[in-house]
Amino acid sequence: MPVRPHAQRPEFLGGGGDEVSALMGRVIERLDGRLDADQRRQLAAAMPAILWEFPDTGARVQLVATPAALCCVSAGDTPSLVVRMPLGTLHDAAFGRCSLAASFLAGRITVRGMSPTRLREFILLVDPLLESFREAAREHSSSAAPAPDVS
Amino acid sequence: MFRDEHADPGALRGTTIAILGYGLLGRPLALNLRDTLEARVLVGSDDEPSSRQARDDGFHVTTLAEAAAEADVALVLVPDEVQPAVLARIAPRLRARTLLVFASGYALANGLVVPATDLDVGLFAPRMGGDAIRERFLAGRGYLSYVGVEQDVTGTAWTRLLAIAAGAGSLRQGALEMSAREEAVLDLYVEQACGPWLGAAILSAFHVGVEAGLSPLGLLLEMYLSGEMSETFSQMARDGFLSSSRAHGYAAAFGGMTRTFAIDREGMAAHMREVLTEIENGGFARALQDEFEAGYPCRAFIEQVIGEDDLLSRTEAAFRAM
Repeated sequence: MPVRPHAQRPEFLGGGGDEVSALMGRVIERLDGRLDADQRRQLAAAMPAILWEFPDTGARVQLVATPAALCCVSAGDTPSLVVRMPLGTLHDAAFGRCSLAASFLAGRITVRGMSPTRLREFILLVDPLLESFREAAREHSSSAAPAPDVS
Repeated sequence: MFRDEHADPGALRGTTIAILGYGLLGRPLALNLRDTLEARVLVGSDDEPSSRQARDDGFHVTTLAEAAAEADVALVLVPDEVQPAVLARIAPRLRARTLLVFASGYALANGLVVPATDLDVGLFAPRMGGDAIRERFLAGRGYLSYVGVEQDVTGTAWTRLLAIAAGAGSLRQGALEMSAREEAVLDLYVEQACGPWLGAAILSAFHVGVEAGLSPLGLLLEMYLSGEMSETFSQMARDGFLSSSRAHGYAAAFGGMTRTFAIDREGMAAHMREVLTEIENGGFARALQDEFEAGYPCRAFIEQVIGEDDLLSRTEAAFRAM
């Protein structure tokens, strides 16, 4: 699947960084529900803090993983990984309009701190994260206008 | 530098050489050794497609353990991460005084295999891909390799190891002495510190150029499809890394050098130091062994990226079809 040359910031997000942070908070809540205890433990051991930077919105959101739960905090402690990608790319990947692999090849996604010791746990997150984003974005758009283009 | 004149291929006359693994490296080395040495070369393989290939090539093929049991010299040519499991299977079958030769220092360097103390242990690590090893051999040319002895209980380890390196065609060009640890660190470090920067530079230059309206095919031709870049690397090996830049004209040196000053070399070096640390402290080896033991859970993801139907791959395919 080709990468869209300029993934756009999702139209339903009008409020900037704070709105993105709120959306990502709901994404991480859902992600928490999708991981079992073993997966949560693996994640907490390999990368207890993941910072997401969305340069197209200015938002920075940190996922903190403990064996008990995942939670979302505003950027704080030194993260184990820093994922930098446009929110538009995450949105397009979640709704099947671009592939994360193609976005990575095109240089739209960087993961600072990635190493062979963390790849397995990182991969574990990808599909549940996309599903969680899709759900959270749909819910967000149903409570805001205009509706997202999820065709 | 060891060359043919330092080796005595006759040292292996009448012995049995077991090639353990008949893949990218096993096949060309087996063929070269059979063509050169007055020794019996047999193949051990537990993989059916590889075994079939070896039988088609005229070799006597047995299981890894059976081949190991017959060997005077056993070459371990299975993938790095598989070696600990294979060695655990074959170790009870190896006879005392057998020379166990590794083509990569990875398992020895990381303590993943500990050969019995009644064995000779050596390293013969070609610095050339499998196809080229055979092609160069048939053309009468050699290729560089690293050799080293890690354990010598018979007093003949060096003699037998150099006979293998000569029989495999390497000493026509030469072999440098190196320990398994140094070979493993060097190999992994260059793959993981230099390779990704080269790969990322090509990908970024391609996508930035395409976004700016440059021809996708033109970009790939400039970077590697025309073969000019591989010729440049050959020139570096022949004439020197820095002085080879003279061959590309003043504009290339003027532009290239000024742009190199602007690159964040400090950041690049910091990344490379992290990579080296993780290799030296065994972190990478633990991750690779975990990956193997868990049944390669990351492989599907890696294959997905490699097989991505990206503009770059489509451009290459279109060029090949021209």
